[in-house]
Amino acid sequence: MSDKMLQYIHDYLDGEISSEDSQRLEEWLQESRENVRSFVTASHIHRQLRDLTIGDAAHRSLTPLSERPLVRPTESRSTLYISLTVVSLVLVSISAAYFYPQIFQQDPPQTQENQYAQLTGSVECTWIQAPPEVITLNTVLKLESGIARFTVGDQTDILLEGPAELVVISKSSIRLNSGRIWVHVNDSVPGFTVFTPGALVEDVGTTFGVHVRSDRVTEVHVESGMVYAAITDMKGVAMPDKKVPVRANEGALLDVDHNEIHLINGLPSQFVRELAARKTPPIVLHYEMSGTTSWKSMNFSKAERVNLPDSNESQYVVDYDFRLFSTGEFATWFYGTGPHSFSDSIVFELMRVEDLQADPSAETAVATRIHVGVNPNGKLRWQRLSWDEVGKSILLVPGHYRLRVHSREIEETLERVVIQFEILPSPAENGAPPQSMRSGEPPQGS
Amino acid sequence: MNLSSSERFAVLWTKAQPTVSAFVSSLVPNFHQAEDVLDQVVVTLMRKFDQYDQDRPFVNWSIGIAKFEVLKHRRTMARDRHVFCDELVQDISEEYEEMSLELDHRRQVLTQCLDQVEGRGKKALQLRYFDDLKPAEIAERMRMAAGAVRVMLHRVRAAIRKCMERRNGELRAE
Repeated sequence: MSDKMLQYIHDYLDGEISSEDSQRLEEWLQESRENVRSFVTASHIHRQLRDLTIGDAAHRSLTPLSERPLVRPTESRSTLYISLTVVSLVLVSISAAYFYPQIFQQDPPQTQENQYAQLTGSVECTWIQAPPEVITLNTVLKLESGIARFTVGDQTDILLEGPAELVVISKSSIRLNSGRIWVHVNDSVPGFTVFTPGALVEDVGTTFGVHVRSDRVTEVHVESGMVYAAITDMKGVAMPDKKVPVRANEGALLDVDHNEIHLINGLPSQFVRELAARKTPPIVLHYEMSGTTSWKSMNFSKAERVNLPDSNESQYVVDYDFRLFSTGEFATWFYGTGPHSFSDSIVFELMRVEDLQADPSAETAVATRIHVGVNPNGKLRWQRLSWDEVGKSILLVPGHYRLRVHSREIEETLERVVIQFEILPSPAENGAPPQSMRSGEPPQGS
Repeated sequence: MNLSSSERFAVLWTKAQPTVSAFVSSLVPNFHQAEDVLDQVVVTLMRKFDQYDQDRPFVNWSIGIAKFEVLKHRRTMARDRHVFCDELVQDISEEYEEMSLELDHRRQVLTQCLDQVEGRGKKALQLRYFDDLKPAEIAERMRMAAGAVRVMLHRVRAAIRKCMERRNGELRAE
């Protein structure tokens, strides 16, 4: 078989073949049974690749955590397959009795047997794909906005925050394709797994939040207990050398594209943790850039040194993502110091993540940009940022935002940034944020 | 040990399912549509299980029934440019029946060959099969041209196929 013809077969199986190539493929298949045989081999591999990737992930979710090895055994395939077969037997028996009880002369099973999850509450929900009355295996839930609460299995509560997409793949596992969830797993549950694109989070009697970001990074933030966070191989199995424990008040960034895991300070407060109407708290961003050439206190999604265009100079850049739930006038303050008073020490850029996705260069995504000078006397102080150089506030609508901070000097300290819903109250001169800001719950360890 | 009708069906179907599933997918490439058809195949198999001739391989009987379910599904897809003619569907189903025993042994070999795929090829396969994305969507995720993804997927699968042929040859030699 020629490589060209195999390419046609693969295009056909991917649903990407043109009419002309489809015609050529069909004529070639009709030429001989040997050609049909080649087609059968290719299509069988195609289907098995699908079954292997999906099946292994589903199988793992059906296995209690206590029975799972923390490190994947190298020769476990046959065991997995036997186990999968046994599970299939049970599932087939259940579905057989459900679909055609006359054959087996058994009573139809109760609804509960097919029910994998249950919607237990919602606030301001707009569904793209609403949950059915009985949430069964592989039910896809697409929430455009609002908050929905589910119980998966018997005792795992999940708050789904729109926009988000979630698939129920067993009574002890879900797949979060996008968006945010807050998970509380009852101590009596032997294990619960959240699969995300290229990663997974296994709980060990825990309360935690998971966020699948638009850049495919999975964030996990643990409030209590412990989880294992891992990058998975293409079969959905945790890679032994890419698996870390994440404990209470810790977090992890699972960067699937770069195959890296970064431990961070946990920030559970960024998740919706109760089913109630949301109110935007002050957003308090803490970090420190001081001394010479490196960032400290990695309380942000990334910090990297980038070269300035047309220059031999470089600068540090940090992104901090946050969400707003309300429209309003927002005032922004920063607390820091630096070597110069002229407005070129620190640059703040605020952009909507949705715009950034449309224009990764960020040139058109930047909603506001301001260059600020910091206190030249080496004394920390609060300073209000004027995003539009006219007023002291900016009108923002609900959505995902990214605050990008550029550091151009090496002797600056930027300790804290506060974005608050109202202009008042002002932060105190001694550096402590005003009382109303403290509800923003800054990251631990700052 | 006497097995009930439902238990016998479960045992037979568990063994036949991968091959029948592959047969359906070969004629209904969209995974979700194929899985819908497969659901219907299972229902039909169960309804007709009392007519199953136990002297005949169960997988062949299942493929025969799956063929009719595929043809029924194709009536709704008649305008689709990727639908093969009925004669070819017959040829493919016969070939699946002939190769069923051989196909049944391939899963483990495929797993071994899959473990050798690394880097961007591995990622493309993951996006294609685990995330069920089309090449154009994969291209967007990987920041590549759609044509380049199409070629990469083809090359990875061709390499897996060669690896499987080599390993099958080694197994036969043993």
